[in-house]
Amino acid sequence: MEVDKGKGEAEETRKVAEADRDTVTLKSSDGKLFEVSKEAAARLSTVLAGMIAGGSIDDNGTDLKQIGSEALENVVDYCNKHANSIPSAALISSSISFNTAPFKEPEEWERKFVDRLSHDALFDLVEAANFLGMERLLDVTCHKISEMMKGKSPDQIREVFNIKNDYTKEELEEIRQELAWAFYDD
Amino acid sequence: MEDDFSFQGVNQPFQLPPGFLSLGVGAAGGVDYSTSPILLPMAAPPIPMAPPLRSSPQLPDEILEDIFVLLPPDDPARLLWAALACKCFARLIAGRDFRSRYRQHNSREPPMLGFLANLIDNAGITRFIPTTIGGGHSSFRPALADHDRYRAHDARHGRVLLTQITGLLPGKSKDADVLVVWNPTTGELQRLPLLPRRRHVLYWNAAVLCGSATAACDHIDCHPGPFTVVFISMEAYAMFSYVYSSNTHAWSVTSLADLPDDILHESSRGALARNALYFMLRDETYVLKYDLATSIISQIAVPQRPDGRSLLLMTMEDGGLGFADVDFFGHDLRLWAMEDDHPEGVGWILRTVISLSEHLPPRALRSSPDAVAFAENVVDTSFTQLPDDILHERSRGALVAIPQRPDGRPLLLMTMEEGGLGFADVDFFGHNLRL
Repeated sequence: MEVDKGKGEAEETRKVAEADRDTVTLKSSDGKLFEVSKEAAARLSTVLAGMIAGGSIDDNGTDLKQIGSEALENVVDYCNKHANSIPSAALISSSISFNTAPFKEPEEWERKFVDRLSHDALFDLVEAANFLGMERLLDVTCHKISEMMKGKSPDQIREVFNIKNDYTKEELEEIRQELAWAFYDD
Repeated sequence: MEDDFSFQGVNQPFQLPPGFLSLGVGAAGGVDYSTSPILLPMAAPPIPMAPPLRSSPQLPDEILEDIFVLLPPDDPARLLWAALACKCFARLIAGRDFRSRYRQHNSREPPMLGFLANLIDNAGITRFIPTTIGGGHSSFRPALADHDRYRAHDARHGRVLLTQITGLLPGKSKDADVLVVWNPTTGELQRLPLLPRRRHVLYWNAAVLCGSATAACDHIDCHPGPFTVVFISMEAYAMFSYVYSSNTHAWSVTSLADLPDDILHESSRGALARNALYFMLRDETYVLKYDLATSIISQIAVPQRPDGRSLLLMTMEDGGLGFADVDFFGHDLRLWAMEDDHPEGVGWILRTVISLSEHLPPRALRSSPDAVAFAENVVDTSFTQLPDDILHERSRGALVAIPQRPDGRPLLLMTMEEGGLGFADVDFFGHNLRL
């Protein structure tokens, strides 16, 4: 999987070599370049697969203006790790359709991968995975966030998502009365 | 754990549909909720929110749904808490798309959140008893866990049919009993008008079911919608069926038939199978069939089982009628299925035998077990773990279980047992109640 750096040959030769390269170069919104295995990118990302198949990959770095360098680094890191782990048939099939395919628990390395991310990096990665159509990465990151919600009060859930409370006190009190069961501390 | 909410009068049902759904519509924009108008002087400027907080979530709706769909269904409070984080979440979670996705995602093993027990203290209480899930109790509680002086008769499609006990001897004061339909999800209690010929009723049984055209509804979240109550009454010389529709808020007498030789088994819960309701007769030799489409009542013989105890009508996995019983020695739970297309009319086959000792701890079998409950809308193999003998160390009295989820999937469980003395402190080995 070594990158063909190009050796200053004639333009035509270079082009042929590039078509055969087994990596693609991606450029983040802030101009940083990342290389990722073409096979993994095509397998894990429907958007990249489409770009590769459609020949819209730019050798000088395919612009991904919506994705910051930190998130893109994580995407690439994930792709490379995924390429190195043995892809199980289950994983591949689960990425076909999230809506209908049963959700597969993240594997150990995937768990570790998302666990080490900062809060912001995790959320940025979710967005990046969504943008690139990376269903499996989306599953894994969403799973992580749903775990972060475990046992959390509405206040704490707001912290997880960094959002404002837009309920009035009266509304909350009304809900509390109506759905008293949800406010028991077992 | 204890519910300290005062009873909402039956004439004042909750006007608000399930939970947060009703909220958020009238909220004024731009109000700063971090201030309390009561504590601050009127002139005080609102305290600004911390700047980094977003008023709308960073992630798009479909991703939020991806996340929420992974919240475990056995603890519905989690979904609710997410909904209480902000109105945007509430709208997502309450939305039809999300709910159907959530059900789809969790369709394999819907949890049983609890059941209803008819306890005998204070002349009768219908109590919701949460089941044990993992280490703790399932979080779902109806707005009112106890219905004092009520008895649960039936539960289906997210509604429960209760009778209000007005006399000291509930069985003897039928003319004064009042039927009430309770929606445990919303807490709404709807009192039905008295039957037109109520004073003539000698024996009866009744069932509640979704009121929308039967075939069209999957009964997954129809519980706030219209319902039907079918009341079969044995009177002095004939049998009547009364059908109540919540659309018209009125009863109609829809059919009559000659009396069978036996009387209705009043504490044995009926079952809905295909398009008919079935009620057991007292001797357990015949079942009454009430065809919902034609309103015709007929009788069906049940097999004689010299070694069987009381039987419990149930809906089988394929939608047909069946019943469960426990063998004489209390070893096995047996599921029998009715075969409509039997060459000699109706036949019954023993479809499944479940060894109780394999599924229950020995102490559960110390007192003689009986089949008391079954969960409706349960599919596939979930059945095998089912009701068994559930409770009954000291509890007697009918038992109705109604697992409910916030998405409204009625996973009803129901039951029966002739009343005796004891009650309270039901030791029902919750962990075995899981489906």
